[in-house]
Amino acid sequence: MVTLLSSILLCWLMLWLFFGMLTTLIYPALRSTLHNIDPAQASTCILAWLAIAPCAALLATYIVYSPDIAQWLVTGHCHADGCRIHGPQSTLAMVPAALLAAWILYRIVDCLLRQWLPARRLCAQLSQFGEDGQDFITLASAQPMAFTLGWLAPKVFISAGMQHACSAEDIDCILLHEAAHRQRRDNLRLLMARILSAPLPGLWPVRALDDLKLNCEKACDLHAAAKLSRETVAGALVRVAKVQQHAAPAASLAFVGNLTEQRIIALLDEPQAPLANQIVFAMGSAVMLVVLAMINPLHRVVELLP
Amino acid sequence: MQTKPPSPSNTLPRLGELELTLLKALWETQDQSAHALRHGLPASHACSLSTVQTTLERLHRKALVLREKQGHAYVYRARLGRSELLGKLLGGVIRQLHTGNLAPILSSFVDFADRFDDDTLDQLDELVQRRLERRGDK
Repeated sequence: MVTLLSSILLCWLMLWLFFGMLTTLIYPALRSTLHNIDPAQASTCILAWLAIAPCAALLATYIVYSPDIAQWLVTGHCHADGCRIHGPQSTLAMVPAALLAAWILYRIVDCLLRQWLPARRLCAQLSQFGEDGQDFITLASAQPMAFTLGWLAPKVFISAGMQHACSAEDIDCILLHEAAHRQRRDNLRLLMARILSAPLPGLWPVRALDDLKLNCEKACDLHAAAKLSRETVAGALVRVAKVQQHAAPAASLAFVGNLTEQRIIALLDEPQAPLANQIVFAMGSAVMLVVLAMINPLHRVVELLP
Repeated sequence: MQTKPPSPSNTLPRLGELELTLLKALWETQDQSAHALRHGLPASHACSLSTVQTTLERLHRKALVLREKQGHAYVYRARLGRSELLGKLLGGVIRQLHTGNLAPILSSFVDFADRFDDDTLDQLDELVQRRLERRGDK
């Protein structure tokens, strides 16, 4: 029983890393398509893309170890104990399975400890300090800032400094943008993406995570633009960027990648069309075919292990 | 005993719910004893006197309250005002977000890690203005 369970676990975890590598390698080819479709849809596609590795690995493992399904996909062969349909087992799987499981668990727990807990604590503290308004919480701070914080029930915070520095129209724009973050639960979406990609080596998922963040922001910009206008939102972004720029601490990072500039340019560009359902269906089918095609070689690989 | 400096990812002040509630009570009325603070607690935070005393002791160790012995009991007052503490808290968070020491845990209207030079912002501003004028012409 222990041999079977450790073989199943090893199979799933190795496939998770394998599919993670595969999706990372293919991702650059998808980027141009993702940049040209509706940002709300693009952000969902990226999250789904990041979920492929653990989910496809789980599906493949389930099929490999389900004799009723595997009999259609694994070529017939016999072992010393007969020719019955079987799930592949390795007596040495326990140690590598335990090591891989410990690594993946460590990465996920680390991700939760660095993000989930600090955000919860900060949200609770700021909610206590701030003045609760109808749509947002006002923070009595001169530092200009406006943000959404929290995972399951996010809250919008706007500082008094930001309210003084911006016009009523800019504040409306900020509120619409942040309301969209709250409605879409973007913080949770980003956390999910980080957890799904946590087991992968550090730099592998960076591009996809950056693109996800950018598309979430663009989707919220468009939500605000639907009520105001694209130019109004772009103008508000420029003005708020100027206000924040002058209040930034001296030790700020040098320019690394500028999301706001890309968002402003995207707002002033032509609107992007959503991805056709046929393409989404084709991509899903391709993933399914890859998983099914892997079942026979996977069965053989696990059996090759001592 | 030397206190270990907090790691960059862990510099958020750790304040529990009861600690925050007691601080709020001290902001409203300074110079209160543990006994008076316990009586003023909302029903949702009702607890024993020893719990209040322990929590006040923790706040004192964190240098968030001052205390003075009056008779047999201590009288407490907040060391920092509400806006001072908020400023300190936010300042730390913003600094860490700017320097990349804190994992991104919030969505801000304009990303705190974004850095612009004035020329870029002026160019973007011009671009927006041109678009607005073009829209006005139509």
